[in-house]
Amino acid sequence: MSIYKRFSLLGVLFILMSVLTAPIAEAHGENGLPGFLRLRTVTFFDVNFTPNQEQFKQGDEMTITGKLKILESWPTNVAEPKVAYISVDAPGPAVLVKERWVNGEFTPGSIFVEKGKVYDFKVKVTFRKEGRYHVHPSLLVEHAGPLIGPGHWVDVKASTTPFTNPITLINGKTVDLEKYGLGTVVGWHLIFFAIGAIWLVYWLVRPVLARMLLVEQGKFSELVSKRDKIAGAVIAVVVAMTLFGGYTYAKTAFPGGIPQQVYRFAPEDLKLNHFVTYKVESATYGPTTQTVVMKVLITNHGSDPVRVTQFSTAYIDFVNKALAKPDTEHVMTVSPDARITPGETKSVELTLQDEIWQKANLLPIEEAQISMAGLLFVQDDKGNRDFGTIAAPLKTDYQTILEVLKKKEEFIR
Amino acid sequence: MGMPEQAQKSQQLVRQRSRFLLDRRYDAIFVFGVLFIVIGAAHVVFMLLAGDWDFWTDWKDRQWWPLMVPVMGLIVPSALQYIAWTLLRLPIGATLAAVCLVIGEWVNRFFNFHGWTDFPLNFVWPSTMVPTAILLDVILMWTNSWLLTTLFGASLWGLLFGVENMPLIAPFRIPVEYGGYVLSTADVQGFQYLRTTTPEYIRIVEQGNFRAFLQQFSTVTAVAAAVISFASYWFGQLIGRVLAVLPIGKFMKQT
Repeated sequence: MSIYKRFSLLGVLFILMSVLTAPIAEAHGENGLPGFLRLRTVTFFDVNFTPNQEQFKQGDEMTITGKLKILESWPTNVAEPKVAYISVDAPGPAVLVKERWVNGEFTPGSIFVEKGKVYDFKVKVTFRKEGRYHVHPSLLVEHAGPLIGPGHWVDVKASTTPFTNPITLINGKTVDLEKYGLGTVVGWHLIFFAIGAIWLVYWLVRPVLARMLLVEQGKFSELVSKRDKIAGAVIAVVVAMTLFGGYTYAKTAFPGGIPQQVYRFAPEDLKLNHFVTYKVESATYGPTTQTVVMKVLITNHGSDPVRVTQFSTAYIDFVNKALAKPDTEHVMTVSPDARITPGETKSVELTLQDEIWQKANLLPIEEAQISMAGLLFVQDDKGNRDFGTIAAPLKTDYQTILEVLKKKEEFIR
Repeated sequence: MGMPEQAQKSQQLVRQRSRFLLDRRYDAIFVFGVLFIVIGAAHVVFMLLAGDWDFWTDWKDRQWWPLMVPVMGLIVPSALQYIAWTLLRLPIGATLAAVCLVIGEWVNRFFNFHGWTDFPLNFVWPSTMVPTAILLDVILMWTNSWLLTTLFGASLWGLLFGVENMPLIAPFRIPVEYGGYVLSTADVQGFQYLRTTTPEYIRIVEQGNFRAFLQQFSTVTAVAAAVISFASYWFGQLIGRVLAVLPIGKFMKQT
């Protein structure tokens, strides 16, 4: 076998191995987003997907509702959140965003946001492409990037009829946004392209490389004749007339055009009744049990006793084990789990033992700020709920650091 | 009386190379090869320098689109015009670059943006600069002057970009009432078709001090594009000279 054949065979083997051993890329790599970003920037909660099902077909709609809080613990090494918008993370235009509401207001573009504020959102999407993919609500923050909420798998089947996206223009015409205006664009491109091609062909039907010799000899007049200059004048007139035609066509066929619009505002604040305050005494991780333990001082300023119900961080909810349903995915132990009476300040220990810390690459061990943050929820017997940000440095030991780093390397591999 | 030394050298060159250079088959191979090189070069430069302003209809505003796209889009046509005129006395360099750019952009938009990532073509169509490229070449042919071509050709390139693309963008400027707001159709496309790597807040629409000129806004933008096009025209000339004409000249002398 010749050396070339051997190299070719090696190349084919390399390509085959690369393709066959590559894992399937699914979801959006949310676990690859640095842990500290997910823990300390935004917490999503009360997120619902309606209808809450996996099977859809092209053209079906789904509404995603929920709330998010931009945490006071926003990391100092990430740009301050000022401009952002709520959207959906999906494989590009596989879904169409039809509506986007924040705090009850329709938001056509980005909004002005602030740390510490809570935003109630509703996003309505239409499934455009068939396939199985993950859909998340997300907050895209200027200079910080996308911060995503909990995901939901959908399996979208092809519709028997071609997908259309009808929209009614202000002039009353209903058009399909999938192909509206495309004929006009392609038509004018072809006209301009044809004129350009005629000019090129006019010159390229004659010898090309041989011209170089005449140029070297300075015989310029033989290369560009009077006839060529007249041809140039003709093509210039044709171009001018076509430009005028295009201008006239645009003005007559599409009258009343407006420039692109930018609406940017700060949505009205949600009215929240806070009656509990929190102070974290300590937060530790490990050793080796995949457990976060937080001691929190909770003061009840309300008129009814309250109980700790939930801790939410990033897009994960840990429910008080005593209140959890059988299908609750993540739970925590609250100790003591007694009610906090009005005016009382109680120290409560939260134990969050869950493989999700390492499985989702959440622990910020390799970051400049090793700390834990999230929202702690309490509720009184009347159903009134309150929540607040808790954040604290995360203490750990050397053995745990080594273990986490080893797991992280495995995760990256 | 003998021939001047330079003319003798030229005649020698003709005799030596005519067997190769005068054969039309080599012309065909040359043109075919150049076509692909120019498509690649024009596309890469344009993608890097004009980028989003040409990708999406909701970025094609009245200020930055007619400013950024022609200014950045002139570099390769100018370089190619310099090469074609200096070496071959062909007034087609800019036209060839503009036509190749359109081919490259449509291939990119069709297979990449539409075929690969599923954006509808009416959201991602490219601009055209073919008409102004023809004018640029014709002006050079008439004047045989880089200075006059700069003054008239490059300025027309910047001034007329908005006009040559007006029939393309016009359908997407028709208003739509959406969510209680009046938006252009292009805005609705940007709102609905998810771009996970192009967040809405980086879209720059009519931001800048040109608004101070009130009603003459579009005219001021066109004039600014014309003036800045002078610089990008000369930058293209420099590239054509340094990367093509000088090395080819050296090679020819050596052979």
